[in-house]
Amino acid sequence: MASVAQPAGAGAGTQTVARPAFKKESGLWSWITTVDHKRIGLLYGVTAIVYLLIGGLEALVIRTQLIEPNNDLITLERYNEFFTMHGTTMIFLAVMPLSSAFFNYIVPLQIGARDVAFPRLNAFSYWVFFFGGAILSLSWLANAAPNMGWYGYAPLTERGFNLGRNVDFWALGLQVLGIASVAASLNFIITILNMRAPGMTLMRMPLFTWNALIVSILIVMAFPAITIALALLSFDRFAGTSFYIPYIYDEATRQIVARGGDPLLWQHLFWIFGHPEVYILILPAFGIISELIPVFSRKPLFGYAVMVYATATIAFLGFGVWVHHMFTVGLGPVPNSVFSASTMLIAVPTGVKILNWTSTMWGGQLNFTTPMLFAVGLVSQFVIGGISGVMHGSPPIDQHHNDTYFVVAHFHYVLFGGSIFALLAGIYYWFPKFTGRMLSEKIGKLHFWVTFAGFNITFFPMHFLGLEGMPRRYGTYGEGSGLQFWHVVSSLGSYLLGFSFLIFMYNIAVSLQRGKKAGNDPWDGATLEWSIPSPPPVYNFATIPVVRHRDPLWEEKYGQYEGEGHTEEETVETTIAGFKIGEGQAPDEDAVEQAERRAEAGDEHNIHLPNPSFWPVVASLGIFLAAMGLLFSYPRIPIGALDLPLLTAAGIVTLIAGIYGWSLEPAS
Amino acid sequence: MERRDQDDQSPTPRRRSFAFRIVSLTALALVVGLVLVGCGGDNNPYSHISPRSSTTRDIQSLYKLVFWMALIVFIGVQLFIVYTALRFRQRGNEADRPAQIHGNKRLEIAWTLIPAAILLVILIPTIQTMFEFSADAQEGEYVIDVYGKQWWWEIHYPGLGPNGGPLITANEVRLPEDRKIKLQLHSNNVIHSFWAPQLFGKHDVIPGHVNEIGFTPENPGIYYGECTEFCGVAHALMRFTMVVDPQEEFDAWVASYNTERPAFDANPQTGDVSEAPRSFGICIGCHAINGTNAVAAQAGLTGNPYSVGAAPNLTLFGCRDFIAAGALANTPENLAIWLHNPAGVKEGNYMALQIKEGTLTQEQINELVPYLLSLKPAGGCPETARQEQNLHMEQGEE
Repeated sequence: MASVAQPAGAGAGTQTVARPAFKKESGLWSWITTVDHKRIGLLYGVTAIVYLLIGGLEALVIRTQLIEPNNDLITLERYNEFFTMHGTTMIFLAVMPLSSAFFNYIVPLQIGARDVAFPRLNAFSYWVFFFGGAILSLSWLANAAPNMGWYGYAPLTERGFNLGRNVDFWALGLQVLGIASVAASLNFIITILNMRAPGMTLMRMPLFTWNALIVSILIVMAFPAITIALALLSFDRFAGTSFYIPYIYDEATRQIVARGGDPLLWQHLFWIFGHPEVYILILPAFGIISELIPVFSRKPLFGYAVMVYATATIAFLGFGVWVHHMFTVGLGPVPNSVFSASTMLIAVPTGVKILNWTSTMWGGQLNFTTPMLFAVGLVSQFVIGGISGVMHGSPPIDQHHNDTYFVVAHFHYVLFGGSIFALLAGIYYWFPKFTGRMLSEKIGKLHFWVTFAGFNITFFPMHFLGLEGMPRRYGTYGEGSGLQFWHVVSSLGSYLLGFSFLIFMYNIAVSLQRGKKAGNDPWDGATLEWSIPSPPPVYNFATIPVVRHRDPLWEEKYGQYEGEGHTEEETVETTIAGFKIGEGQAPDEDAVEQAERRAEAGDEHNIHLPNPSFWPVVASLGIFLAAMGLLFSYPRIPIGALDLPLLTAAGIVTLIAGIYGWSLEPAS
Repeated sequence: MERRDQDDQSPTPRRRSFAFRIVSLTALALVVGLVLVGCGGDNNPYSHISPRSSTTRDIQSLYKLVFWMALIVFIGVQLFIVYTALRFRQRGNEADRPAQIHGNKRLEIAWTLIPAAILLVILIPTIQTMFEFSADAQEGEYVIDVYGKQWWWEIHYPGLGPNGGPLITANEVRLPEDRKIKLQLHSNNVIHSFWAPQLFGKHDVIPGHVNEIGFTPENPGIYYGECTEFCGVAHALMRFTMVVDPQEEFDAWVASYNTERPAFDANPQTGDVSEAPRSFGICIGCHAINGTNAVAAQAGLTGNPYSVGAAPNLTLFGCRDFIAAGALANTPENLAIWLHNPAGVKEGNYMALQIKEGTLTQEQINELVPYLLSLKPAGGCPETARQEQNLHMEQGEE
């Protein structure tokens, strides 16, 4: 037996041995109360795809408005709502939760665990996310959709300039989503650090799991900045403070009165969150690609250690570049030089990743399945976004590029050509694991090429629009501006791109019914999730595997093979680019001992799985009600000096009840 | 272990090469387009790759350096990817797994250091340019204050106005040729950004902060600018022009702005050039016209930061090219449309709080339009800039 060694007596991980039957759950109630990471992953995935389609439709409205100059398809006010909600939806409700879906479903399988560390917290994260999305979506029904850009620059968000509830829906929606993200991330950090199978050292972790770990750390560190920024904004709006207001006009004296606030405070806080957020969106994509390219090249990842360190470096540097969103605010040449340098520096580890992926393909046997097409598509398209990013990393150039369509082109190459391509690749790659059926390769290839063409026709002309001076967030442009041609091309491209998603939906619908049966391991995978049935049983692994190699399943299938990450020796070296930086005990002895200890403890015959619980839903419903109470503030109940909206009071009671019930509930 | 069905999984070689041909052709077309746009200047009003001042030429030369390096890197990396993808594609008859290579020390060091070196080549001139710009903004023969409003621009020339006060105009910045200009940017409402792509890069207009732009307009002509920081409903309709005239003509404009009474022949009742027609009475709460009795409106930072009160100073309105910060060309027909229903032309504007559809009768509009268009200097509007602009256009087309 090779790397996925089993303790005495147990069958291989691929077999389902006789177990006390786990009741097959179905029905709406089972989904609401589920704490199974796989089901929660699917919930995240389905919700995110719904929002992806909604955000896409919003984009199509935007593109249609811009197809001719001085168009009055929608009013400027409506247009402002559409671009704000397009950005907010895509970032917070589509790409982030789609990444979460993969984290939830795949990470425990890749590390050989039966669930995440805190399954009910996991359910809570999903439901808080669900309700946060609901708050943002309900803004449309209240005719108060956020209308000040996804970045919500103060003082446009202050009551003096935005009296409606639009900003409050956005601020409270994001606060609630923040709770979900931080809770989920803490869960994943703890899961990944503590629940890896015996023998899976950090440097044997699959790259996707590495990226999940790093992204989770980023979220935990970045979200407090926006939480504070939004809290201060809400104080300004609800309590009359002036954190972002330098002065106000006093009606009585008809004079300007200094209030000591500063709009730039918002910008710093927002971008200290906002730039790491970019990496929160792209690093999961990098993780997915780093899994796929080796599998479809039939070669291990080129420079595994460097890839890990590059990811960590990108994440670390990501906290030190936020001012490049603010090169036009006049901070002066010294800060701009420093942040220009740090911005360019971050291109280095990113470039290393691109070249390492390509080198992984070099000398391999490339199998261009649909997921591989999307993966290689990312490697190629992300380069464009990366290069244009370096261009406006230079502040003088950014004085032209900032807030024009050049930047719109840039970040769509990063977020669509990067994140979305990878997430689609991930869906094609892991769909067999999720459902037991393959997505159709024939439709998939059509899907890829239509997406690829539509994507480039939509976004490449935006570079030209930017160079011709088309600013972002313009709902109209003049006839004499010479911009219409590329706007038309871009809009037509966007319809093609929209059509590609219809192909995708059709593929999913057809393949769910009639897709080829996948079996455990349809792609000749290298990681542990392919060692178990598709879809996996509730308990994932009948027996917790023992890991002796970075590509455990390949080693099981192909026997001992040369290379890094495999240890015959008693010591292992830690290296960067071939340089030894550390040395440690070979983990395998340890791993076997650990596995034996688990077996003795009866773990083998006693799979612990948490019971379904509805308390997480109750607690998250409480948060939802509390936020909605602030948005619809009548009726109110006076409690001493406090004048609390009834709904908020009910929400707080529900939240407390939820947590109370949760903490008294037996875990399993 | 279950094996894949090869026929289903990989396309035939012919189809694959067709797909790659699409990619390479698309890429080629896009790169050619990029080169054309990147190098060829053009005459689109907001194009920032047709610089017309030393400031924008500095940015352009930096941009060209970065552009060509970017293009080389882009082509190099894409060729590497496409070549790898084509050369190592599975042919379906592989017996063994390929060599299991885990990395290459030298290569990985090389492609860490080479990008770093390329970036250093960009970074050094970047930093030099920034410090030059910063020094340029320190001095100016003409200091001009720009106030960003929702959704128009108020322009103050300190010391050039009546009685040594500021000369106040709106949405049109008149400048003398070949003088060092220093713009100081103010806002008392939300954040705007001031950008005339052919003359200078963007600078944000932030409440509580004063940003400065230093530049020298070199050629007479009309240059176009726009607000580039999202500032609310009518953000897209917050344009401005910069009109560069020879010094004498600029001085004449300043003089006529202050001293000459606007020619007025639309009020037969009084014949008084200092009085507007009675229908202008509804306007004077917000709009001022120098040399008339319409001087009550507030200006600059003294107005309510929440945007009500002050509105564009309309002195010499007849010489302006546009109405409502670039929303319409300044013609009698357009002016009538604007006065009939401002909200229909420019959504969200604050004039529409007062002037709704039907507020002004057709008779009043008929009276106001000729009056407003008659607001010109006695000798007519300065024309050099326009002529020079036409010259530019013709040169550009050759």
